Amino acid sequence: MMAPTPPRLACALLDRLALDNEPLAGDLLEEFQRRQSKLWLWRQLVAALVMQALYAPHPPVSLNLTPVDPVVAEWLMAKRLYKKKTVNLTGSGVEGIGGLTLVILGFMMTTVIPAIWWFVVGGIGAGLALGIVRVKMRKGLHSQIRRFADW
Amino acid sequence: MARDLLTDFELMILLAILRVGEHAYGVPIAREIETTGRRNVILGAVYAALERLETNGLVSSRMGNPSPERGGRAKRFFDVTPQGLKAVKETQRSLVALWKGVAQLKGGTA
Repeated sequence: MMAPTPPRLACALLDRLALDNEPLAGDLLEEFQRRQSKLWLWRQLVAALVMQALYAPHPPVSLNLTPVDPVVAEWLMAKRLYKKKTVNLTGSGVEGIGGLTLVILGFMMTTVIPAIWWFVVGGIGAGLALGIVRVKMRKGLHSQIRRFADW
Repeated sequence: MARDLLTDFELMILLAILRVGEHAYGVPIAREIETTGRRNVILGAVYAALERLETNGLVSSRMGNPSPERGGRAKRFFDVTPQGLKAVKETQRSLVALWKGVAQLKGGTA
């Protein structure tokens, strides 16, 4: 009797798994040939790939945001010899709050207390009014200074 | 002292390795747990636990030769180290001590 072969996609996933854990991929194939159950293989394969992704050791990868080696930078920071510089990649003016956080925050506000949007609209209106007043005052101040200079 | 005690799954794996003997690799270990221990296992979980046990020095492993029925992939054989054996005994002692004198567990197997 010929040994059963796993589905093509399962074979490809077994090959992928074998890159990280060759004995586990071999064990799955060996046990599949005994059990001859595709359902068993899929269940085991998906669980193995998920566990591999969760528990496999991931070596730290440098983003090269610091001018020194990350390990050395950690040591320097621990010794307080190097000041940590944060890079804001979110496009948000508020440190630590990114665009996605603002969207989630907006969604939660709408769901929990929709009335709070009136405060937000009021705040924006008040901010705009304050800005207009300041620009007018500055223009008035400038013209007064110019008049004083002319005089 | 507390860290020497094993989780139930770790204990099952170590006992399965001891029961299988010299040629203990993933498949017979999982089979032993399923048949004798009456517990369904995920092979990936067995390997994750074996990795942890090896990191803690409770098991050691060696690679075998690749074989065609495994798609040319090698087996990884596991052995329980003296430290692992000590941990099994320690866990057994603790469990037996807890077992003793529990009135609800006397006189039945259920």
